[in-house]
Amino acid sequence: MSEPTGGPGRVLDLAPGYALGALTPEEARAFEHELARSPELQRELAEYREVCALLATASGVIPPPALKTRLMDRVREDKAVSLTQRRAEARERRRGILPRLVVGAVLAAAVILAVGYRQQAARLRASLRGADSTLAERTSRLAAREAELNAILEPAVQLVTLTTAGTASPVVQVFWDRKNNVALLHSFQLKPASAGRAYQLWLLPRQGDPIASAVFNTGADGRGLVSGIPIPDPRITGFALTEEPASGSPRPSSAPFLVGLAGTP
Amino acid sequence: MSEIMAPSGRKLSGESDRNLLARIVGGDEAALSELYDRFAATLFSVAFRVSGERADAEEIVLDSFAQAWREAGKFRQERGSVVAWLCMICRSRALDLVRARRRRERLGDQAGSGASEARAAPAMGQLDGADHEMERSERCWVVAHALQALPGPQRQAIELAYYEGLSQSEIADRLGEPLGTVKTRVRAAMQKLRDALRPYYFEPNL
Repeated sequence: MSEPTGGPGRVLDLAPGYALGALTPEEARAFEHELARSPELQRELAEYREVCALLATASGVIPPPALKTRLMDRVREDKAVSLTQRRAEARERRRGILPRLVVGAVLAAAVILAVGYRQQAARLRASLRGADSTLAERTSRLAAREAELNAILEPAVQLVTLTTAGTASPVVQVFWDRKNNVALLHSFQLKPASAGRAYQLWLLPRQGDPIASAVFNTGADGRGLVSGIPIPDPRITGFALTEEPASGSPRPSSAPFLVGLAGTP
Repeated sequence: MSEIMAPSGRKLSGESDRNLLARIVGGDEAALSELYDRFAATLFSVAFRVSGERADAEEIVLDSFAQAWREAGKFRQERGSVVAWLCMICRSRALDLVRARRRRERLGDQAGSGASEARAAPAMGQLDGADHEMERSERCWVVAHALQALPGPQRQAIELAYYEGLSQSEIADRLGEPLGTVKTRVRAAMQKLRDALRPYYFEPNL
């Protein structure tokens, strides 16, 4: 085997550049040569391609709603054209004569399969009935949760992020619905508070002391979600987070470790 | 009141991306519609970042999904996730467009040039699900900070490679740095990004 890049170890080193499309043609060929037979390299490449896909999310732009309509219109047009082509091809095929023996064999096989499928269908129906009730219960729970969360999709919602420096630092996002004076808190990378303690959100007014707000904790994955947080004063300038006793405090017992300023809407 | 988000909260329905693609192979428009809802913002983001023009980004995203519709059968799951595949299609189309524009500019034809529009603020009302929006917002923050945490020269190498489509040799020429240095920077940066972003992969089973 030719190994212009100096062995499998070096080929592995090419994976980041290959995922970015930044290799020379020779390097890319060497990488592809090894890729076809190396599951390790395939896994490595899949990870770097995932990183590339994530790099795409670094800016917060979104497409206009009309774009989806254009896509679906185009796809329907393509489909219509392709259907016409397929019909023309089918007409061509029908002009040929299939041997009767083959047709007979296919029909016999179909009968055998149909009997088998009928038995299998009966078993599946029984299993589906059991699954239906579980599904109904889960659907109902999901609908309730969705109704809560959909508050953040209102046009008047402002996103305030509370964080500190560093990539693995805790982050709290407050989706503040200024029209309805409520907020939803979403946290990640925030490890659970120590035993007997919880996190507390504070509303920062233009003047005066912080206003006590939601008390919550996170799961083992560092994520937490609190919906329906009332924001009584529309003039608050930001949010802060402290760790407090599990029942919460009337005023912060320590300096906040996360702060986010709301600015003007 | 407290509730923990499900790690799989991203999905608009419970169906996997791969299943959606399999349905697209069978000509299912509803599957394409859901795939679009899941990843249009991601594709638009990369198309806009590379092309710098909203109108171009719209055409690129449109063409990318249309290509996915036609070529869904070519997707190979051992080579990465569905969204990684879609992003490759999209980025490749965006880079082609930018290269073509540069060629026109070099020829003195200004038809493809124009002032870049200001970056649009995310309009949350246009997304399909609150879960999706929260996850998008979280991912956007984490990726931006992972990039920010890279040493300047490494970040610059990644941005030139990913958003401008430059090869490592072209980056070395552009920066006046030795090729070996650029390769080391690219590799080190991608390894750091991989470590930082692994919990946020679109495909968690990698």
